[in-house]
Amino acid sequence: MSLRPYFAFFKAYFLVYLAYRVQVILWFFTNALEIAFAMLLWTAIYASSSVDVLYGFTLSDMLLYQLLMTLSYSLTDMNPIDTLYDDFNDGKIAMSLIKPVNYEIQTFFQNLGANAFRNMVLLLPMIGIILVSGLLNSSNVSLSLASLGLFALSIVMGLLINYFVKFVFSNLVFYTEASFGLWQLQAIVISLLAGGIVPLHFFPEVIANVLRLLPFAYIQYVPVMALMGRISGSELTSALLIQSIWVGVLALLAHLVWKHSIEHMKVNGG
Amino acid sequence: MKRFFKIYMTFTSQYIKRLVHYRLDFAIGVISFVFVQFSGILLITLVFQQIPDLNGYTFEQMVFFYGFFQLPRGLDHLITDNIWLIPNKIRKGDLDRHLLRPIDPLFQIIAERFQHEALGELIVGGLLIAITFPSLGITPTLPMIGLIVVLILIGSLIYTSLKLLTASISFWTMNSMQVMVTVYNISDFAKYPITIFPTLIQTMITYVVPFAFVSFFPASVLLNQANGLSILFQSTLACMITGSCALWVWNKGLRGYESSGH
Repeated sequence: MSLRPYFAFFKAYFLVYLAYRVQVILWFFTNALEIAFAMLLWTAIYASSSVDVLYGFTLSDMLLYQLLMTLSYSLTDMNPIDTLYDDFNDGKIAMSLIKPVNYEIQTFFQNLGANAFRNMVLLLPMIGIILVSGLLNSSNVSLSLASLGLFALSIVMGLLINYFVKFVFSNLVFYTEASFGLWQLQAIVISLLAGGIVPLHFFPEVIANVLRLLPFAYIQYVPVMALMGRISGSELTSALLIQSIWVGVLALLAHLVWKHSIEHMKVNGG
Repeated sequence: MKRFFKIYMTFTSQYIKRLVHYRLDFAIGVISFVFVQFSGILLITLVFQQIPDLNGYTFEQMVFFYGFFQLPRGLDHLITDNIWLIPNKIRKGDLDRHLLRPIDPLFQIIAERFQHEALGELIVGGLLIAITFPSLGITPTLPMIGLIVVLILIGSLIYTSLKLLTASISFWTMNSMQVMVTVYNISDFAKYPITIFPTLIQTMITYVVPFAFVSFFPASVLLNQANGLSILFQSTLACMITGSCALWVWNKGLRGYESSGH
């Protein structure tokens, strides 16, 4: 099967976002505000601490972690729930299903188009901020071609895991017809379990160990910790292996859930 | 006034009938907001495993501020959540429908949806206050409770005004959703005692986007850390300024509204 036709979906979504350029500048502000909030909060927390190191992180490690988590969030961000809900809600999905394109692949490429546009705008300023902040030096993170390559590999797998997890979850819209509640639930659960609110090793050890086995840790936490040099050697090899297993398992699960959904879906209008 | 109330009740009862039908949607909405609160409390809990206090605030006080923050936010969310749909209504020309009816369009938009998901915020906020209150060592008097209720209502109105103000920008830009999100998210800083942040941030959320009046100052009054009457005066002023700006921009936009055509 050729993927060629699907690039049209990629391009279409890319262009849709291009049309809302002002929105993108505002995205930047929203992101900047969020990251400023997290960094100021952690600065206050460290200022109140009698020790310099909390759970193995200095303040500078924590600030770098927050910046890299924002970066990896943007790189791995996919929102199939929006696509599925919109198509389902206005009945367009029925038309899509009878066209000679695979709906699953189409949705993936649409989301990838949106992701590509967002990163085209946000990536350079974010990398700029990380470099200018000097946090890489103060956290003793040395970047090499190898470490960046492994980060890139891990991020790509993270994107796939994020997409498939959300795709499976998104199928709930067909049964519940809820959208915002589900969107919010999905966002907060993933953020919590992926280390977006606190680094996973801040959790009590038993919980942290369980979280390290779940797919969520492999969306952002593992790539970021690898880049910071906190996961290396054989530990990194096994982490990447587990990550690739999750990609396979979730891709299969997403496909099975989708097959089940289209057999039971009730579409009104269209 | 009585007529408005009657209409509002009709709208709301229709909405509740729908909720009973979509029970699952209701449950998911409430659960999702409970989860959001849970993650915030988890952050405070994990951090306080390592530090005794945060800039002088104890764990109980932090949780109390966090809980208090949910009340005005939840109240505004419960009643006026539909303001979030204004940018969409303007862009798609849906606003026409409201303009054709013989009641104030803003009232119609607000009455259209009673946001049950906010119950998640109100319940968790109430619980957090109830749990931490005994350990704070304060016995509030009746006038104090009355004052706090008034301050919470004013706080909700500040939320509503800022939402309406940013939503109305859509009359000129077609879509101001992202502005709404950005301004609304500034309220994140008010979840915690604002004094832990740098002066610049404190100034911003007191004088520019007055979220500090929504929960930090009222909660401080309850903790006897601020003067009640002076806060009441300042909150009222902040609310009146944001409220009249919002109404002015909304009305100005409405007068120039030409619809997007169908």
